[in-house]
Amino acid sequence: MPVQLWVSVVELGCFAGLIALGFFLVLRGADVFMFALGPLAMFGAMFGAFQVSRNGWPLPIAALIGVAIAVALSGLTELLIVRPIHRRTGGQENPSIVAIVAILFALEQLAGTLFGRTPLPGTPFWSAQFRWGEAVISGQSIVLVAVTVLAFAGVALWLRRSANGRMLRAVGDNEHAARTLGVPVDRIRLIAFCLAGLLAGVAGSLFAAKAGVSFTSGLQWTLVGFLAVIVGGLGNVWAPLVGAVLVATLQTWSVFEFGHAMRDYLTFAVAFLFFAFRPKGIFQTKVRI
Amino acid sequence: MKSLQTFRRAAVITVAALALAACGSDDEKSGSDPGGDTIVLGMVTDTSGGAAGYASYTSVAIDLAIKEINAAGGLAGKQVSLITESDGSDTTQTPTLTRRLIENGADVILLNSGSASAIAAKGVCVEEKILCVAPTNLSADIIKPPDNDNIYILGPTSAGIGESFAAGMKKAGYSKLAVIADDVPTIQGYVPVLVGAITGAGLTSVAEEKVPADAADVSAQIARVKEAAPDVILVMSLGGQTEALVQNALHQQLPDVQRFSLASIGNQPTTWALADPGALEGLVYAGSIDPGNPRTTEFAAKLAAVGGDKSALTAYGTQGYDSVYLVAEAIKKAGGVADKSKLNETFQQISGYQAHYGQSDFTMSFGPDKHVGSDGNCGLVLAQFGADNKPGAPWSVYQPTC
Amino acid sequence: MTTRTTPVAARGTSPLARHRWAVEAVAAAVFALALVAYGSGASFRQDYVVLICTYSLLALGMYIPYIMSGSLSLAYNAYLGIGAYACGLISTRAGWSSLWGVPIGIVLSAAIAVVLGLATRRLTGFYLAGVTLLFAVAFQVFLLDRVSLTGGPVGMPVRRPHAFGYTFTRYDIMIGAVVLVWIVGLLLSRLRQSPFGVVVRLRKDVPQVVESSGISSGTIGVVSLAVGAAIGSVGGSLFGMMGGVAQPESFGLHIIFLAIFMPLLGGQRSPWGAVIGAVLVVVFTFELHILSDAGTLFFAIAILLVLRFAPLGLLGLGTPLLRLLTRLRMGRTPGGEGS
Repeated sequence: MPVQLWVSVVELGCFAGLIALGFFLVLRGADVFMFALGPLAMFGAMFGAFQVSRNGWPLPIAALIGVAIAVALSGLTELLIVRPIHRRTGGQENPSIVAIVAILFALEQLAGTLFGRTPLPGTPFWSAQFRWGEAVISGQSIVLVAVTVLAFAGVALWLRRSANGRMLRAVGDNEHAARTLGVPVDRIRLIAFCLAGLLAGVAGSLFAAKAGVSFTSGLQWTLVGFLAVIVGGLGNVWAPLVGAVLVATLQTWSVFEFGHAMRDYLTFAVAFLFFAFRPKGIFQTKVRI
Repeated sequence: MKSLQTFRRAAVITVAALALAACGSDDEKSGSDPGGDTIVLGMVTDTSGGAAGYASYTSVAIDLAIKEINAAGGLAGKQVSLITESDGSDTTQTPTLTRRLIENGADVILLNSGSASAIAAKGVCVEEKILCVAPTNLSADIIKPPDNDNIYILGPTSAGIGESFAAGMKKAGYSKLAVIADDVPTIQGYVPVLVGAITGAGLTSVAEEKVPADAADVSAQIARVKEAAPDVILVMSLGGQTEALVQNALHQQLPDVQRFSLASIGNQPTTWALADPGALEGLVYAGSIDPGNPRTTEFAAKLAAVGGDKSALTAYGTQGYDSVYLVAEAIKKAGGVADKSKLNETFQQISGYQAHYGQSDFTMSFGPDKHVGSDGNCGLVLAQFGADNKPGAPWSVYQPTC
Repeated sequence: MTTRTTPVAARGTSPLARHRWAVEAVAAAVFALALVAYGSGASFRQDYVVLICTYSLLALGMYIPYIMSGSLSLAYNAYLGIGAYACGLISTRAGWSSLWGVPIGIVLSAAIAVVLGLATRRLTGFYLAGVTLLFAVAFQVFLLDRVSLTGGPVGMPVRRPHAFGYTFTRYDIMIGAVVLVWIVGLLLSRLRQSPFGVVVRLRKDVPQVVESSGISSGTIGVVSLAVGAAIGSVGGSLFGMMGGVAQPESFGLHIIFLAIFMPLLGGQRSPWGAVIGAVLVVVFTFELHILSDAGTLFFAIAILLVLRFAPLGLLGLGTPLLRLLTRLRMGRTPGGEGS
C-alpha cells in the first residue's frame, strides 16, 4: 500500500479507537453497548462546526462547548433513559438497546433539524501540512494521534490508580455484587457514560476537520467503533485501539485492493467470523471469580 | 347467552367501523376537484431527504411562474393553483403521494424530487393517464419504455452530458479517463451512461472507483486512481461533503490532472466552502447557466425580486420555471385540462420552446417518441472554477453546440 | 409485568377471556373489513392500505423474536428487500408469476436469519444487534453494487402476479394483504398462548428454566428469528407486487427503525399492538404535514417516551380501561383477578 494510505489508517484508527474506548468504558462500567456514541460525536462536532462556519465563533470555544454538550447528553442518556429502564426491567438488556437505538436516531434527526441537513466543514486546530516522501501529513492528524495516545494512557492510569477506576471494573464484572459491597454503582455508571461522552465529543470535533460532518455521519462512526471493540475485545484498555487500527487497515486495504463494495462485505465478514470463532475479541477478559 | 353478547358487541363494532369508513370516502369526494374552476398542478417535492438541497430552488421558481401566469389572466380562463406533497426521497411513499395528489384534484404532476422518485412514480402516471413532468431529473431511465406514454423530462440527459464531456475531452487531447462516483442510487445510475459516452468517443477508462456517501476517508480510492495514471478525472456525486473530500484529495495527490464534475457542484455554495482553498481551481463542470443568454438574465432579475435565500440563480430554478411554462403551453393548446389524453397530445406538439437556461440558441421540443425536451446539448454550458473556489468563466477549450 | 404471566386458567373466569379467541378473530376481522372499505375509495388508498399491511408484517416479523424471545435482530430491511427482489427476479428473469417469489423470499431470509442467529448464539443481545446492523449495511451496498443481479440503483420491475391465467389487480393485492395480516396476526396471537409460545416467552425472562426443562434456549431463539424474518419477507413481496418495482432506496436503514418502533408503540402484549403501531406510523407519515421535516425526530422522541413512561405501549394504556369496562358490564368482579 502507498505510504499515504498508512497515514489514513493511522487517522481512521485513532478516531475509531477513541470511540471504541468510549464503548469500552460503558461496557465495563455499566454492561451496556452505548450505540449512541457515534451520533454523540457527530452532535458535538456539528455544534462546533455550525458555530464556527455560520456564526463565526472562535474554534476553541465552539469545540469546547461542543464537547461539553456531548458529555452532558451522554450523562442525561444514563440518568433519564437507560437507568430508569434498567431498574424497571431488572437489568434486561433489550429495552436498553432499543432505548439507545432510539436515542441514536433522535440525535441524528435533532442535529439535522438544528444544524441543517447539509454537511458542515470542520476546522483544523493545526492547519500545517508536512511532506514525508510521497505522503502528505496534516497537522490535524498529528493532533489526533497525540490526543488519542494521551486519552488511552490517561484512561489506563485512571482505571488502575483511582478508586473510581477500580470500582468501575468491579461494577462491570458484577453489578449486584458490587452494590452489595457498598460500591456507589449509580455514580460509577454515570462517570462511565460521561467519560464516554467526553471521548466521543473530542474524537468527533477532531475528526470533523478531515471530511466535514453531516447529521448522518453518526451511524457510520458507531459502526467503526463497534467493530474495533469486536476485534480488539475488552481484556485490556489498549485492546480497542489495537482493534481499531486492525479494522482501519483492513478497510483501507480492501478498498485499495478490490474497490469500494468489498469494504462493506469484508467488514461484515470479519465481524461475523469474530463472533463465530473468537467472540471475546483478541484480548479476552480474564475470568475473575 | 354470554357468547351471544360477545357477538352482539362485535356486530355493533362492525357497523360503527363501516360507518366510519364510509364517512372517510365521502370526505374524499368533496375534496377532489373534477373540472373545478382552477387548474391544479400537483408537485411531489422533497423537503427533508437527499433531494431537499436542490428541490427547494425549483419550488421557488415554480411558484414564481404560477404567479406570473395568474397575473396574466391564467390558463384557458382559469387560475392556476399548486398543491404539494413531500416524499423525502423515500420511494416507498412516492406512488402513494402521487396518487393522492391526483385524488385531490391535480391535473398535471410535477416530479420535483430525486430521479429514483420519478421512476417510482412512473407507473402511476401511466395508470392514471396524467401528464407528468420531471424538470430537474437527468436520468433517461425515467422516460424509457415501457410505461413512458406521458412522462417527460427537460434534459439534456446524462447522456448529453456524457457526449459533451467526451467531445471536450477529445478536443483537449485526453485519452485515459478515471471515474470517481459516490454510491447514491441516482449517481450510480449516471455512471454507465456517462462513461459509455466518453469511452465511445475513443477514451479509455483506466479506473472506476466508488465512494460511499458520507465517506470519512477516500485516500484508498484516490490511491487506486493515482496508480492507474489517468490524464483526466471525472467526479460524480450529489455534491456536498463527498464531492469536497474527493476534490481536496485529488487537488493534493494529483494536482496536475484535469478534473470534471457534474452540475451539482456548480449550484452548491456550501460545497465550495467545504473544499480547501484553491482546491477547485480549474475544475470543469456541466452547468446550465450561460450569462450570455438574455432569457436567463431576465429570469434571474425576476427571481431576485422574489427575494429569500432560495432566489439565487441555479439551473434547478430555471428548469422548474420552464416546466410550468411548457405545461401552460400544452394546456392553452388543449383548451383546458378536461381531456387528459388531448393534453398529453398537445404537450407532444410543443416545438422550439425557448428555454431560460442553456446557451441562447437552446430550444426544447417534444413528440410521441421524444420524451426528452432538449433539442441538443447546447442546453449545457461547460464552466470552470476559479482560484477563489467559485464558478468562473465558460471553459475556453470546448462548448457543446446544437 | 407479572400480570401477564398469570396462568391462563386463572383468568378463565371472565366470559370475555374464555371466548378471547373468537372475540379477537371477530374484532380483527371487523378492523380488516373497515380497512378494505376504506381502501375501496380513491385509488391512493389502496397504496395506503397495502403500506399499512407491509409495515404490519414488518412489525409482526419483529414481534416474534424481539417481543417474545428477546432477540433483537436489526436486519429487517434486508428481509423486506429479499421478499421484494425475489418477486422481481422471478417475474422478470424467469418469466414466472411473481407469486413464486414469496416462498423463495421466505426461505432465503429465514436461512440468513438462522446463520446470523447461530453465529451470535452465545453472545448477549448487543452483539446480535451489532452484527445484524452490519449485515443491513452490507445488504444495501449489495443491492446497489450487483447491478447484473439486482438492477443496481434503478432497481427492477416486479410484474403483477398472476395465477391460472388471471392477473391480479391492485385491488386484489390489497384484499390479499389485509387477509394475510389478519391470518398472521391471529396465528401469532394463538402462538403466544400456546405451549411453544410460553416456552419462547420464558426464554426471555428465565432462560435457565427453559434450559433445565430440556429445551435448548438457543434453538428457540434461532427458530423465532427465522420465523420473524420470513414474515418480514412476505411483507416485502407484497410491497414489491403492489408498487411494481423493487428499488434499493425502499429498503434503507430507516426500515430498521420502523421495525423496532412499531411493536413498541402499539404494545408488546399482543401482536395486534404491532399492527396498531403500523397503522399509526402510516397515518402519521402521510397525514400530518407538520412532521414532514422532523418526522423521524418526532418518532424517536415518541419511542423514548413510550419506553420510559408507557412500556406496554398504547394497547397497554388501553388494558386498564378495558378491564374496568369488563367489570362494569359483568356486574360482579371476580376477586383477585389479574393481580
